[in-house]
Amino acid sequence: MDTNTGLSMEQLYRDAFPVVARTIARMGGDLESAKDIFHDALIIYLEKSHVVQLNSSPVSYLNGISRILWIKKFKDQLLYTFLDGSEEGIATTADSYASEQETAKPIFEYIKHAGRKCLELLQAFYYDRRSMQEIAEQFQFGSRRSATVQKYKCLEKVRDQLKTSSRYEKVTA
Amino acid sequence: MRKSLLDMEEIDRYLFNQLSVQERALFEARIILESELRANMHFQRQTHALIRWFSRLQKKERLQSLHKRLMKDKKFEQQISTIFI
Repeated sequence: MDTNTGLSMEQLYRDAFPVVARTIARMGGDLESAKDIFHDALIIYLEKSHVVQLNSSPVSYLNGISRILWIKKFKDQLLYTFLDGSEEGIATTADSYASEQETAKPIFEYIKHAGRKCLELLQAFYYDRRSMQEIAEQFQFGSRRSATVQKYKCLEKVRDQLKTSSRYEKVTA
Repeated sequence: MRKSLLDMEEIDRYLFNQLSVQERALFEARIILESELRANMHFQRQTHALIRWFSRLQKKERLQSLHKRLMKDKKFEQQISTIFI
């Protein structure tokens, strides 16, 4: 797994997890919850670093997000819904992650239906935010244009599966 | 590119805010008039969310196995477990 910073994921994990674990332990958490919070923070960090230049060091950024995620988790448990603006920007990603995880599980098969190569291509563009030029090279397409055509064919496969299934659900509901 | 793929490209550009003001206005008019295009846009947005969800799930699984592997390293495991005493 790449960290977009030249730092290997293993090295980042070794550097950052002890720091985050200490933060979570100080706030009363155990190892299991520290690990879960840290993994969510890492995912947020990886996604953010695709789109914006992060100013702080990876370790302090991860520690900061983990702290926020922990506080948020704690507040949610207390059914305390107030969030100030500074937390919202980061917390939203984790929120949508949790809700997507719950709702999208039964439709896991649709995305697999597209096939492995299609899926990797779609992930490279829509999740890893790579340019079509990079994708054309990585997947050995003759040109950027033919990679683009293939990307839409793959997207269409998944989309049409979703569409068909929703029609089916309407009929059987 | 066939028409349906060109429409997909335009839907993507609309969803990612890449259309010019004029293109956007035209596209929004088409959305009102063409129910098929409207449905396609809805499902295309869901497909994006599905790709994101799937990618995150995959990353989480990889992080779990990385965690397991690192915790087999005695030095690292000790460093972590002393924090939670």
